[in-house]
Amino acid sequence: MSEHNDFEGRLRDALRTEGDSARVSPDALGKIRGRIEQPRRKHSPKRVIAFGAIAAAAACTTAVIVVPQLTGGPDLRSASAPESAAKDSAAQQDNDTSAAKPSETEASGESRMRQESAAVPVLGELVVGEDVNVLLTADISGDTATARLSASKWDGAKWGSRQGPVQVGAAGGLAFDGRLSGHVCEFRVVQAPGKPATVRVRLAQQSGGACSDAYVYELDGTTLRPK
Amino acid sequence: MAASFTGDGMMFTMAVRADSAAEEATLAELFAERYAELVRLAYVLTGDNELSEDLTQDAFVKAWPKLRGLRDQSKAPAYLRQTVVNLVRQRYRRVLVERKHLPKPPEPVPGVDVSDAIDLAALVRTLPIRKRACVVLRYYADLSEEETAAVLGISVGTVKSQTHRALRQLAQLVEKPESRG
Repeated sequence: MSEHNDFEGRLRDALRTEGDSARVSPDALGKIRGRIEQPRRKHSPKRVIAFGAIAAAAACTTAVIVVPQLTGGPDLRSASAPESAAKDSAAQQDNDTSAAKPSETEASGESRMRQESAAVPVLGELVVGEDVNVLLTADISGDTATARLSASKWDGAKWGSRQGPVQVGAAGGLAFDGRLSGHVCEFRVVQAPGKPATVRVRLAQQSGGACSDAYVYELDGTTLRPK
Repeated sequence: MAASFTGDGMMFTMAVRADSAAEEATLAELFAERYAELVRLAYVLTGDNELSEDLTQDAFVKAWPKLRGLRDQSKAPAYLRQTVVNLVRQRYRRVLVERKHLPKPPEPVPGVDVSDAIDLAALVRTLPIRKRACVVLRYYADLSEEETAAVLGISVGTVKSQTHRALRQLAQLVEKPESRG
């Protein structure tokens, strides 16, 4: 019996010694991340937007994107997404000759499910170049909301930390009474050759109300500076 | 020309980003806690460091769709371990004539007591893959017979018999080195 146990003990020691001699490469986590991200990025709506933006930039010296709306006002008590007013924004944007058209994202059943878990109201999103993302969000406080801009960069494996946020216009620039009822008149990026990109935002406090003057921010990497 | 983004699309992107941050943290945590351990387990089974890393990375990638949705994250290590062992087994199953590709057993060192010189770990790798997995999971990973059976998807009785036969085979190899050829 003891001979048997002795053999098992030797076996355990031998296997542990063997296991301890295995080496682990330092970049293993990066490789795993990359392989996990690959299929996800392949289908990411952001990539669709990015490819559209690249194509537009190739055709024009000025690349411009966007304009979501808050018409109708989403019910934020249920943390749902802002209503899209693509028709309104398209009409408004058609007057803007410097605007370009990337692919339009379409809501899938999955996205509808996912958006229910999102609590931060996103008023608009831009993709600048291939790897910088600019978000216009609403920071709700009481019966008003403050628009804020922030940016982050894709490093090839993941999104970097979000820079900002930068307040757009006055605090409480949008009305909120359980639903956001303001209006994003303009939200776009202007990219002229050899110059830093600028982000332009105009807001209306009430849906259908007068639009503010443009708030313009220079985008240096992911840093947003008021101009 | 103009572009407009639907609200759904924007919220989808935002939600994905939030999910990604949480998943990123889960992945990094799992990696830090389990990766090296799993590479060692694969190495004991295969004796090939590079292959062990490849298989362990495969296991993370293959298991991730399930792991990311696990409510009880304490089950993740067992699931990963099972995936690694299964990948090792699949790897060996692909070789139709397995014995042709078995690692060569170590040669005894002349003039030295054979029982001390034999590399038991290398001998374990001469066992067929199921016996080998039973021995490694029981004596390296310190799993119970029930846990070993769960990892390998076989009955506890089969684990007992396979382990018993493997130990007897190893003991014979140690006692009679000439039978290793």
